[in-house]
Amino acid sequence: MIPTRRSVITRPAPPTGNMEVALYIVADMTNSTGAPLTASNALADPYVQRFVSTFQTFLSRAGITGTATFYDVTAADRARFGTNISADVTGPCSELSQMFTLSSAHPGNTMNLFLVQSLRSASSGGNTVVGIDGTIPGPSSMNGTVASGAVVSAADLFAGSLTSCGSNPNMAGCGPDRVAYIGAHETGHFLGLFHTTEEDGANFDPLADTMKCACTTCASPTQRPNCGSTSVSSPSISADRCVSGSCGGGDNLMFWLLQAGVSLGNLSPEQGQVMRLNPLVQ
Amino acid sequence: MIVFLIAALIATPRPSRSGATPQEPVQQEQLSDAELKERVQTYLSTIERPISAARWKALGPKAAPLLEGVIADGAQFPTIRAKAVDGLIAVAPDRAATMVGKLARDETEPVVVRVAAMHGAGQVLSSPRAVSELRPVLRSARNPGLRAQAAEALSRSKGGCTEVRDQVSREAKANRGAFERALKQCGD
Repeated sequence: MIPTRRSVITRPAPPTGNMEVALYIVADMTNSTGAPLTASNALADPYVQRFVSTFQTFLSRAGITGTATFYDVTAADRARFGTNISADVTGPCSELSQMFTLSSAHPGNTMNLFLVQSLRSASSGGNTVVGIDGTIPGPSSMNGTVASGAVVSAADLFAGSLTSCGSNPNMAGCGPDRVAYIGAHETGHFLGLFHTTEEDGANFDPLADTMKCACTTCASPTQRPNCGSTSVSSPSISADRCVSGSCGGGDNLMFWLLQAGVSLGNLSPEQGQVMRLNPLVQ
Repeated sequence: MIVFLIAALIATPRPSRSGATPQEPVQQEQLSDAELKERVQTYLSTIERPISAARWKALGPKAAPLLEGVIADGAQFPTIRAKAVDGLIAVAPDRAATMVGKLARDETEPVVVRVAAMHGAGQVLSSPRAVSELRPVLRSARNPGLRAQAAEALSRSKGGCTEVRDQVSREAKANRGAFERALKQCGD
């Protein structure tokens, strides 16, 4: 037997931490004044300010202070990836993987979020999704790999009026808050979090203090006999069935849905601990 | 062992990343109106999980008016409207056929909605109609990425590849990477 050397690095979970967030503007889109959205004008736009502020609010629930920096990509990369990127990963040459390598332009210990217009999954018949993370957890501190980041649809960023946003995160009526929610959700995956409850209500994260929402208990009574089925009639656990008692977690940032009126972006202490222990958080 | 375990965890792609859903036989579900509404709401609220055409179809034609209402409501978020377009294409292709061309061409519609409509046009329109409805987008959409999406939809239509190749020859070099999927579909 070949002798192996094992090293385990441990550190106590700090109560707070800082994280640099690199936001790549891959989408070919205009800001709220109609000018092309660029890294140089992004933070002057009130919708983008709201997005950043709400994103930071979600991170703060894990004790993390996020600092956001925007970056542009080339016109060719915008045209190739920014309008509609395939969410299917077929290998290191897939569009998503190749887009993540753009982070090599800015080395550093950063959480990389790529903002595009549309994401579609050809494997499901080409249907729309709004966020994808490279891997759980992501390859923290290594920019430029085929999994160095997460992608978020920014299509809702300038939707609606800021006057409907209010003082707290409002995913029901505030476009920037929706994009912030998706960005924070994908960041949670990159830092090591799984969905608290998956679509089928049969798979859950391994944490002890997150609320779960089991199909066999929480699906509508007429749907419960179909729990565990692999057919198209298997129930999908909606967030509003997961709001109290033994059926909880619909309000958690890492629930599998973003459902207006239920999703609040909450995080449990253990979720915060997982996030803060990631090497991206210093 | 721990090192290997950690390495395996880091290297393992997320199981749901592609959201791959096997082709399932479509069996219509028996849902009450309230359950149908809840299911539509759930499908429109997904983050990473794509809803397969089979799952949409299983909701049956009663889902169509709900989805049409979402698509027509400009106050809804663009990503939700785009998902509703996806759903309508699956549950009521005939009804979707009446709107996808118009949505795809409308420069005032959000990009994500136009992309969904173009994808649908390639599925629910006859080849000649898809070519005639999407040609204006292919040739003159302001956003090169949208022109590339029109190309991709047309690459699946009979006669569409000629249009695609002509457009690629007109595009600036910087934009041609966006047409890769369409050209690949055309066998180039």
